[in-house]
Amino acid sequence: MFAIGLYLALVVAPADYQQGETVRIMFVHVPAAWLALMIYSVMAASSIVAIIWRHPLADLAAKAAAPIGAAFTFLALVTGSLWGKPMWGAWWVWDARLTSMFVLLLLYLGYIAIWQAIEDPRRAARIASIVAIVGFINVPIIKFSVEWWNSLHQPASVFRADGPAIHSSILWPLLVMAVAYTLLYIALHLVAIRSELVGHRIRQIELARADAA
Amino acid sequence: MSFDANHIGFVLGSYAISALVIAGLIVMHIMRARRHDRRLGELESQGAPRRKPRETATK
Repeated sequence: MFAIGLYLALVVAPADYQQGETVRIMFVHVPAAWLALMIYSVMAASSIVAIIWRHPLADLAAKAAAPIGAAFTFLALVTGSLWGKPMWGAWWVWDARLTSMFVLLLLYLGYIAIWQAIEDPRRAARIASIVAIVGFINVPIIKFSVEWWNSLHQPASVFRADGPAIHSSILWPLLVMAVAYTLLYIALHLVAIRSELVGHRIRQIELARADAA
Repeated sequence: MSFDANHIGFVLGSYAISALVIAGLIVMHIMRARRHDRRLGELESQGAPRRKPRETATK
């Protein structure tokens, strides 16, 4: 899927009449930004399941998603910055969309830090879940920031009530790359959840041995 | 894609950093899974009980 997406993005898609070749940055920037929001939503939903139903897998699923989400948020910010310099003339502006995405990165890093800093996994899970749920308020802020405040960032151009505002020659490569990114995320998340389960089993065995010793 | 275009360095930089971060993510996850599998294998070979199948465990 990545091979098809990259072929469409780099070979088939035309240069934009205003942005020129820099429009190709959108094919890696936009899917990364979408995934950054989607993964945080998955984390928040898992945290709700963990807090309400105390399902042990929900904590591990949220924990496993965080580094992946942080990586995609980082990519969205860096590729956005690489697009912003030639198009806006600045690497960074404290614009509502950019700032709220930066806050999302801090939320991911804070969530990861909680798991690293607190030794008791149950306590870490509880605090991390609360942070993930409270932090979810930032997701709609990111989504609607371009409508609520004056922003340099362009408004939504794909998911709109009146249909996409971009030409199909740009839209299709973007959607194929988004599917490729999403499949990669699903695969990585499944591997990470399995790793967390094995890690949990290792901790159980080591604790049992320490108790017996 | 034209390599003579203005700002092509920004485009190539974006793809390069995306490839680097994604490759890093994949390698990190595979290495971690292998490390955990190896450690669990070691513990089980040292006598740690293996997980029983679900049907047996619930009897």
